[in-house]
Amino acid sequence: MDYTIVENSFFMASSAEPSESSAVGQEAFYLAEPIRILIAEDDKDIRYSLTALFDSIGYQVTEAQDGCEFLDQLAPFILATANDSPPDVILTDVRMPGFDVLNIIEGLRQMGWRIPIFVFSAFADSAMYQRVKQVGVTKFFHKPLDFDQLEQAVRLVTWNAQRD
Amino acid sequence: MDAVGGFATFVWPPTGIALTALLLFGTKLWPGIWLAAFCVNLQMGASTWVAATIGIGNTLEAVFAVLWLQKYVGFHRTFDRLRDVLGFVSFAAFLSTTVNATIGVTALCIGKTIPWEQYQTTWFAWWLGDIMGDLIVAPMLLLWIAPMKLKQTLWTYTEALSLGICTVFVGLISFGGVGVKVVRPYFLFPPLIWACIRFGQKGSVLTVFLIATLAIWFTAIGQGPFASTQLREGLSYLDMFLVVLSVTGLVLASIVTQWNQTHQKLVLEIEERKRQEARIRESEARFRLMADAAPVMIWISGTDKLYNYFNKTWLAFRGRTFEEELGNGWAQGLHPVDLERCLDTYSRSFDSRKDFKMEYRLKRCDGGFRFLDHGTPRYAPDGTFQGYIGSCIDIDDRKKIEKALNEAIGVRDEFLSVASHELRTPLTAMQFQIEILDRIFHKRAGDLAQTVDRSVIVQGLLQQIRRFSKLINDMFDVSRITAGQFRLDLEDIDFSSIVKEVCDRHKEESRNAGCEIKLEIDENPTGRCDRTRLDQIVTNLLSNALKFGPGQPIEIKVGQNSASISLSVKDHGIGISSEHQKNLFKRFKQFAPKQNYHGLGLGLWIVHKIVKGLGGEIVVESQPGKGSIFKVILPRNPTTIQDNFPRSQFSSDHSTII
Repeated sequence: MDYTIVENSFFMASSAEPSESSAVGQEAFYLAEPIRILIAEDDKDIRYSLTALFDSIGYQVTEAQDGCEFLDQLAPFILATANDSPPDVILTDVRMPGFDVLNIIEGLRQMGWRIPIFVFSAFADSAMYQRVKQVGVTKFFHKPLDFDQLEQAVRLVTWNAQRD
Repeated sequence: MDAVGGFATFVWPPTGIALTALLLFGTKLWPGIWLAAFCVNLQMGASTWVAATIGIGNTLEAVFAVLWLQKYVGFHRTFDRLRDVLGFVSFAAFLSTTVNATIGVTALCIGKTIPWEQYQTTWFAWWLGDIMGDLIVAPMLLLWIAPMKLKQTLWTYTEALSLGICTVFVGLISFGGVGVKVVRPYFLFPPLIWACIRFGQKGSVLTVFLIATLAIWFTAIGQGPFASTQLREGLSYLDMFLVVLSVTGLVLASIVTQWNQTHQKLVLEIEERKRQEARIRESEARFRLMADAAPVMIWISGTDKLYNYFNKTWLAFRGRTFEEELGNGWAQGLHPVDLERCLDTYSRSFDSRKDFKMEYRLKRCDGGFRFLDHGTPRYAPDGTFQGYIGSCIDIDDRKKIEKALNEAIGVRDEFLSVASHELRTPLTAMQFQIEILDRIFHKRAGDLAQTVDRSVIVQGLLQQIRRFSKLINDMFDVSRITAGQFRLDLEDIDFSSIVKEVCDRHKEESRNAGCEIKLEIDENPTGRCDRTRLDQIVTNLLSNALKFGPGQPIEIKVGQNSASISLSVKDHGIGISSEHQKNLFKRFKQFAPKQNYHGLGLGLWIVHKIVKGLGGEIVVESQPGKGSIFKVILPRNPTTIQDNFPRSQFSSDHSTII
């Protein structure tokens, strides 16, 4: 049930080179700088599990438990007060308390942020699909989702991004 | 009979017979006539060629008569029109006979059978004889060959017999005896008129025939007013008298017949008209009956666009009289918003003679209703436009049902969306948790085994499973309740123990939510109740309190009196606005913002149903921002449990209910 945003350059680039993507091994991955990932999810157990899983395979994970925290995590980069660069990947739930995540993503895209943003949701109404498509999400996942699938997608785009 | 010159008699019936034959069977029969005439004349002593010529005369006479009658008169053998009679008298009796007389007498003279000096008298006698044959014999035969059409009652026979006797009697006194005055035969007219009026042409010709027979007979034996020293002289006078008599009879009878026929036709027409009127009245009565009995409201308008009929259903609906509604009176009942549009639609359709369909609200005697009006132009059988007829169907119920249905569909879709989210979220969590455990077991977890506390994962997994199964249970409860299959197992229960149990179970959750639970329980509150369902009530109320009032204390009270036990759960959370309180216990209703609060919106509905099922009451007191109190009052001895779970109208008929 994956939903691909076609106009997004990251995903297009990856799908154009399937053989390369499969050649990317875990070892090669470890050689690079740890990839920083922001995970926003209001369900405690899902967030905890995702963090643990990504952490265990060498990602540097930051968590947000609702829309407000999500915005807080990104604020230093948006305001350019942070010393380092923003996270390499964002994984977020669509519906969370606090700010509307899709609005935030739309804002980021308008500011010219090209980082890969993955969203997942348990809702499946067409209005939300429309909105997801519109704001420029890298890839949409439907809950429940397979971790391997998610990881592979994340690895693919970050590898491409790093190569650039 | 005293033939003039041996051949010209004053009564010559064969002429009539020949004419009858040709009229009946067609002119193709002429050789027979010629042959008969030839033989007769030959026998009477004429030479062959004279007899042949006379035969030709006889034949031509009959043929001409028939052709003329057919061509100029359109002759009816029934003599029931004056035209037939006059045509017959002039063409057949007077004109065609001259042909025969001329040919016959000329032949006799040329054949030297009679001398030329007698030509005139012989011709006259011949002619008169043929006229007699045509006038007296032919009609008689023609009419009496056809079957009798009169009503043959005893009275008719008696009258006919009387007429016959009368005629014969008058005939006898007119013609019988010597030295009878010429005035006597005039007495024959009354019986003739009688016959004409009462028995038509048949009576007339038969009477004339009778009279003629008598007259000729008596004259021949030298009696009666026409008796003369010279028979031929007497007979010629008699003939003239008989011609007048018979023509009078025929004319009179034809006029009477015609008059009778016209009269009868009129009578029939009047009867038909009456029948038609009765039919119209009946169909009108039937229409009114149907219209009045119909459940739809019916109106009719004339060519002036004004309404001129309303059925009883309409009048009963409006609660007004026919006079009040008449014309444009009905339009007073139109909803002001619909008025202009409605009259405009009607007027435009009317002008273009088109069907129309319009919806409007019409005031009923006790309020407004929505109608669908369907009007159609009316036309008379001859195609003239007569106005409109229309029927109105009450679509108020339909509109309400449509609205309710749309709402229900909306609610269902909303529920499916929420349910999908609520079920997918724990599944997702479980999937990741199991993924972690799987990686740990299969040693491909990197440093997972060190960073992750397995017991925390397992605890989380169990909690997600509990959450999941609660959702499933809620949904099953809903379907059981709507199907009328909700079961309650009553037993004696200590309410305090169950409340304490539920609180214990929520210890961790309340700690997480930062809520302190304060219990206030009366001593020994016992009653009959369903353990599981009571647990469900308390659990639902407590979960809601934790969900909507985190960080604030929650107070649970159990009180009692002789008849009932009360349970109240108070939180200091977000509270519920008064407009939402009304719909709080409805299915799938969630008023808290969805992003912040999970749930299917079924909990309170289920609680409400259980409480009702136990014969109790649930009420809510709340102020937005200050918190809510849910109070449940349950009877100690619930009785009418079965009735409290009415089956929903959508449930199956075969399900078993307690």
